Amino acid sequence: MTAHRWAARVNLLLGSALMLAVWVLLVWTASRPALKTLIDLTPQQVNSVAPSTEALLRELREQKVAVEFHLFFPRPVGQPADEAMAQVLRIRGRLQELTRLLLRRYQWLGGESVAVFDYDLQSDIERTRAAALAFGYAGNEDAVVVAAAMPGRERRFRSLSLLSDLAELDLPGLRDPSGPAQAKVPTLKRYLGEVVLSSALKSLLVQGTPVAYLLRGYSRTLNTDNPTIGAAYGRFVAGLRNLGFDVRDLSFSREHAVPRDAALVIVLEPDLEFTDVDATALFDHVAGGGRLFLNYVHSPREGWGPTGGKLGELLGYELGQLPVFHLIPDPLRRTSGPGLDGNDAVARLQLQVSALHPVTRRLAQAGTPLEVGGARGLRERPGAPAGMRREPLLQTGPHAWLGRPGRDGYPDLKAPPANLLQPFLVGLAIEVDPKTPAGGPETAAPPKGQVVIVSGAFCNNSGIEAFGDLAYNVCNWMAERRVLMDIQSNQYAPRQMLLQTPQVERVRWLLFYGVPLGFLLAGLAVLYVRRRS
Amino acid sequence: MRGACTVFQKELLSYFVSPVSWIVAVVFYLWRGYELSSMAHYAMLVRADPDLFASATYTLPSTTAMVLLVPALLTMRCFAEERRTGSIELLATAPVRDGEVVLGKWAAATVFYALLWLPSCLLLHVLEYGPFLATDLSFGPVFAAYLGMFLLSAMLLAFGCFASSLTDNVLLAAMLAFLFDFGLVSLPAQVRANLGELAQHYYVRELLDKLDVGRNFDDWFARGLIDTSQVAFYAGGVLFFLFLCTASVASRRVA
Repeated sequence: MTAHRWAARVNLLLGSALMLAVWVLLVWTASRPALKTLIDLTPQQVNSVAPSTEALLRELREQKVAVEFHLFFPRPVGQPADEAMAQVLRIRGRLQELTRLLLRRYQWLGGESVAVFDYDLQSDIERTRAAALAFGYAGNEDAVVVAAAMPGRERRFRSLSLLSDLAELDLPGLRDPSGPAQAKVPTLKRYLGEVVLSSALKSLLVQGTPVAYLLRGYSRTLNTDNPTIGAAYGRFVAGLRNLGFDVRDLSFSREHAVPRDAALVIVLEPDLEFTDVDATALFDHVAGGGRLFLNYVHSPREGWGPTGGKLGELLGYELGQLPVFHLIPDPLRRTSGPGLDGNDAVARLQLQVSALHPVTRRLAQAGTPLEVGGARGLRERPGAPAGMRREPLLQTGPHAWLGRPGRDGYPDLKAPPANLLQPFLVGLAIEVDPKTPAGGPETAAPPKGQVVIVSGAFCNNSGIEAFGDLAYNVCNWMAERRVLMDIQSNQYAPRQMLLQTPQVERVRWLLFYGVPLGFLLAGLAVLYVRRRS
Repeated sequence: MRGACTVFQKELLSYFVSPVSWIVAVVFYLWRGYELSSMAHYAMLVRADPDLFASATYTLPSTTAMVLLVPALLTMRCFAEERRTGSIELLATAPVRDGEVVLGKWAAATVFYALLWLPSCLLLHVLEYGPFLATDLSFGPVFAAYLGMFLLSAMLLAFGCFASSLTDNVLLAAMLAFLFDFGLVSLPAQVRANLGELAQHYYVRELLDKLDVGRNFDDWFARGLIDTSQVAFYAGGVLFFLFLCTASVASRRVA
């Protein structure tokens, strides 16, 4: 081989190595978090994670928090005994696929701070056993373990069941027999992966467990256990527990003050006025830097509509007795006016959300709709005490009115004349200055007390799915866990194709016969022309 | 670039008048027609979501075959045939640079490949009309899938050109390209499985993620997601293999 050929080969080798380095550098640069972008072209951005999840993962990366997702998905053994079992296997497979895909997006966003470990008992016994021991996995179901370790701190983890926690299933036999026809096999209603995994992750990052007290004794119908009855609050309470709250009951008949470990006190649907003693206890809690979430609703029953009472006097708010209604859009565009009345839909208020308060800011920015039912007007009480600031949170549109009782005793759904329509306030935040500490000026001042009052039902079982973000935002903000303020990912609204057999037949004729025949004829024509020329 | 344009036109014309190209098109659309009509039948039974229908057509077996096999078939003759018949000497003495020849041949193969795929998109549009599916299909994910497939194929075509430049045996060139295509699709998953915990190391994971083109197509492009770092990976791959091809052609001339 001549020196010339050697030189040419060395030149080629060096050039290739250099070009490879350029390729690697290009990919490395394009993979930097500041430069890489994910463009979602799907309708409704169904494959994108919520902005809050994105922000959280970016933050974790910056703070060098080590996040691990451990997937224990044992392979199914044997054949399914019946169609229901086969369907469960199919659902498991689908959920596993969705979870893996979701975690790939988490990895993409979280970069080096997020790691996903997929275990297979059949092929990697030692590794799986060690991980199962470390996380207390018993090996009997599909599970996702979320673990997080902040720099210099111990790793914390939480185990989630794929079927029970990350999905909502419709199980045959659990439906109301009087309802629609029962499904014979389980069906997957909704995948909750992002909401549950992000919430679990965030709750692990919060050191300690905040205690939320649910005040008892002021609502005669409140049910916080049942997750299916529309007016109950079982799902809201379960959601709080999923977010890492320790939810306890508080009864002023047993205790005469709010416990000192309370991160917040929640009062749902009170239908009695607070007694002076209890109102003072609640106010003392707030004035000592505590947090209070009050959620009033309208009740048509006589004497079931507290207006605030002593607590209202102390905090400077009051509620009206009458429900607030609002004109609804005319779906048939029969009028050019603002909308229609006379329909019970006027009781569901689509609210304008404050873009200024931290509890509602992200909801306002995201354009998340918020709807409440059975609201009453809320206003500042004349002669409200000083030392506190009030900020509107939620307001109706301009065409609202108070539903006065009609001849049947129920509120009249007909709107008054247009000149009597006006906006009503239905959500209010109050910041209360702390009392001067007993130790004098040297003692650190307690934080400011916070009160959020919302009039109208929105976080019961009927509303929690669509409008629960506000309630969780309120609780997280009150527990001073701003990182947990969240907007749930967009719920994908699926469409359906309703096809008839003739349509499918036409598709078959076009695609299976028409198109290949077209190509065949075109090819023959080209070859014929070529031969002729 | 004028030389590259001349080569491009000549090559593209040769693809259009080649019987092999038309046979590939007929077989491909026959297969795809069967798959799509089966899919439409299934969509009727389960009342499928039209938003998912369009992009799902890009995860059918015919797509995989088209992406893995056809680039090797299209490019196997690029340089190997020229060398075997001796027409490479004509090119070598023509007033065009090696880079322009390589660019022209690769661009012709890529454009022909893209044109081969184009009717599949147009057909989806036709299916939206009343006599057929009578629904709005979402073309965002289709665009992403088409882009992903086009980028991957452009890289495989560039490798095919390089493989063809290494030998004067057309079959050997095709085999080399097939091996590379299959290796690129199947090896990263194998390597990932064998590496265990090490596969979770950030840089190893990033490398394997980029190289695992099949998974990237299924998990990102076919679901309507475009990752710009993946686009850079494919663009860099095209440049790298075209450079190798040019260097190979030049070194043969020196030899």
